[in-house]
Amino acid sequence: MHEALARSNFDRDVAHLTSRFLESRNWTVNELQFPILDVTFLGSHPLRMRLSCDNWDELPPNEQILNVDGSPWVGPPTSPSIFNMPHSSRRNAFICTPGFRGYHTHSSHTSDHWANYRGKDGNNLPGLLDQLSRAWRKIKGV
Amino acid sequence: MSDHDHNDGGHHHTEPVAVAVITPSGTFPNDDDYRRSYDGEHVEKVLKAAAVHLHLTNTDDWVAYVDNRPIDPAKTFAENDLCGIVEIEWHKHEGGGGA
Repeated sequence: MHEALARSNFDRDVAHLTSRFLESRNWTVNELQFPILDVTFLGSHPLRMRLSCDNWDELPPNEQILNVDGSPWVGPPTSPSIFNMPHSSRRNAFICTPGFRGYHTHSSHTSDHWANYRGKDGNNLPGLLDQLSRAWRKIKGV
Repeated sequence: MSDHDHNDGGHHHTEPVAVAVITPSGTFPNDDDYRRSYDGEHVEKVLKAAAVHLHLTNTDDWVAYVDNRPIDPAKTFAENDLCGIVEIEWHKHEGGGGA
């Protein structure tokens, strides 16, 4: 995918990260420069998601689950196991739900292609993070 | 605050409600304003208007929350214990996990 197109798709999506949107979700943006989107879900159990959006949206974002200080999140895996580890090939923590590269490249899910989800309403970059944020808050009871 | 026709199937409308629907694809009615609704109006009517405004065509599996609490769009604002200024988070339901 041409970088200019990926950048255009990225810019289109992150334009929805307005102050009103971020306030409603209780998120803060740590870094926002193509191809990186780095957001913290604030609250009593904060969590940071760093997405590398190279080739967006031909490929899903490559996710890193981080603690607030930027150190790697080391689990334990949640139940349900959306925030999971270790990945079958890259061995680190990954997001085990459609829309994230860790899921679609995991040996258990390689037949569930990103093409099944790409471009659908709610699966843009803020939408994918919305799903994660909601899952995290449900799991943590906040 | 933008106004609209609040005749909703014969329900009684008493108190106005200022509503914003905040989605990952934009905010309804816009990023700076609220839409005037009434506490007897069904939430789904506002969500449908938001979907049209934001060009959303497939929201069957979307969920609505207010202040981190899930609400039932099939019920009225009053039945959802919503009044005054209401900001609805509306987004796709989170997927499951399991590798």
